[in-house]
Amino acid sequence: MKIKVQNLCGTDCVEPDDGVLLREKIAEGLSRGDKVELDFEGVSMLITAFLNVAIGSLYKDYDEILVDSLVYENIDSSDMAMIAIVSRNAKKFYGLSEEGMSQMIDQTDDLVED
Amino acid sequence: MAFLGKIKSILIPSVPYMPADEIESLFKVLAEYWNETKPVELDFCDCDYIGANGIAALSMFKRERDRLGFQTTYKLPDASPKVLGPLVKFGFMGLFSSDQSVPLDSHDAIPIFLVENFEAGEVLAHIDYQLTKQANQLPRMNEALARETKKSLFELIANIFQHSESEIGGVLTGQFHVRHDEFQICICDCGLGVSQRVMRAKPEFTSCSTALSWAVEGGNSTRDSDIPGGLGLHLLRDFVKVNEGLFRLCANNGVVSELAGVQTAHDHSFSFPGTLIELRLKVKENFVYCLSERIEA
Repeated sequence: MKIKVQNLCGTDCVEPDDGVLLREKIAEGLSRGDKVELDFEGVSMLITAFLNVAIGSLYKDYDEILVDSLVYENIDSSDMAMIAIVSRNAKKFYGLSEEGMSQMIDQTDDLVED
Repeated sequence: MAFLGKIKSILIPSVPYMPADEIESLFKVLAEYWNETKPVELDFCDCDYIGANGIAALSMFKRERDRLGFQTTYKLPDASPKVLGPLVKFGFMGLFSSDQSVPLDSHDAIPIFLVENFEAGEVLAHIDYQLTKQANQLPRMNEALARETKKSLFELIANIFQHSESEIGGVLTGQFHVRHDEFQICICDCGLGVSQRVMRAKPEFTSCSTALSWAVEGGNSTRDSDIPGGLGLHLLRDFVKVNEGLFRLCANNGVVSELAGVQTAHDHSFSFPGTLIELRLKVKENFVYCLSERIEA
C-alpha cells in the first residue's frame, strides 16, 4: 500500500489533525497486513507535532515490528532522523523494548549511507 | 514610580542586546502593573535602547491589559532615535492605534506579528516571508539555517496555542544584529506560563526554574494524552546548541538559559505572567545541521 503524504496532508505537515488522517490511512494498511510505503515527495515541512500523531501513536495499537517496517520514500536524512526520534520517544512513552529502538536507528543509518 | 494623579507611570529601563539577561529588569518593572486597574503610562524617557525581546514583552503587556479592559499609554522622549527607532520599526506604537496595524517590512527587524487565532498557513507564510527577506539582506543565512529556523519557529508558535491557555494568543518578533552576526527571534504569550503548567501537572516541582529545566528535556510533556510528545523544545535546543547560539526561556518566576549547550537556571522574586522564548542564532555561511548525527546510539 503506497500513501502519498502530500495528497493527504499537503506540503506542510504541521497539524496534529492531519497527522490523524495519515495515521488512519496507515492503520488501514497495517490492519490488512499490507506493506505500507509512505511517499513524502512534495512535502516541504515536517514537525514533531504532526509525526507524534501520524507515526508515534501507532506504537500504542500495533506491534512495534509492524510500525518499524513502514517504508519511507523521498525523504531526506534530517526528516528521517526526526521520525527515528519520534519513534524512539513513542516506544519509551508506551514502555516498549530497547531492541525495537535499535532496529529503528539501524534503518536511519541505512538511509544516511544511501 | 511617579504617581501622576490617576495615571501610574512606569519608567521603562533600557534593554540592550548584551547582556542577554537585561530583559529581566523590564520584567521586574512591569511585574506589579499587569493587573493595575488605573491607567498606566509607559515612560521611555530613561530608555536608551529596546530590542526585540523587550518589544515582545511590552507588546504582551499592552495586549493583556487591553484584554482586561485597563488603559495603557506611552510617553516618548522629545528626541531619542535609539528608542524611537526600535519602537517604530517593530510597529510597537501601532498597538496603540485604533486599527492596531504594524508594518510588514522594517529594515533589519521582524515587526510584531500578532498570532491571535492559529492558522497554520498564515503563520508559515509570514515566517517564510520574514526569513526570506532577512536572508536576502544577510546572504550568510543559508538554506539549512533558514529551514531549521522556520521549523523551530512554527513549532514554538503552535505550542502557544496548544499549551499556554492564552486568551490573546501571542506575539512573534525578531531582529538581525549585523554587528554580532546574529538573528534574534522572540516569541511571547500571556498564558499560564510553562513553569506554572508544569507545576500544575507535577506538584513535586516547587520552583519555576526546575520546572522549566524539566520542560525542555526530550520526552517531557504536560499534555494529558495518550499521544507521545515533548520533543519540540528538545529539538529546538539541540538545533541552537549546534548553532552555538542562545536559547532562553522565561516563564513566571523562572529562567532557563542555554548558551552553546551550557545550561543555567534561576528564579527571581518577580513574576512574568506568561512565557517568553528567545533564540539568538549565529548566522554562519557554512552552517550545517544534520539531525541524523544527533541521534544517540
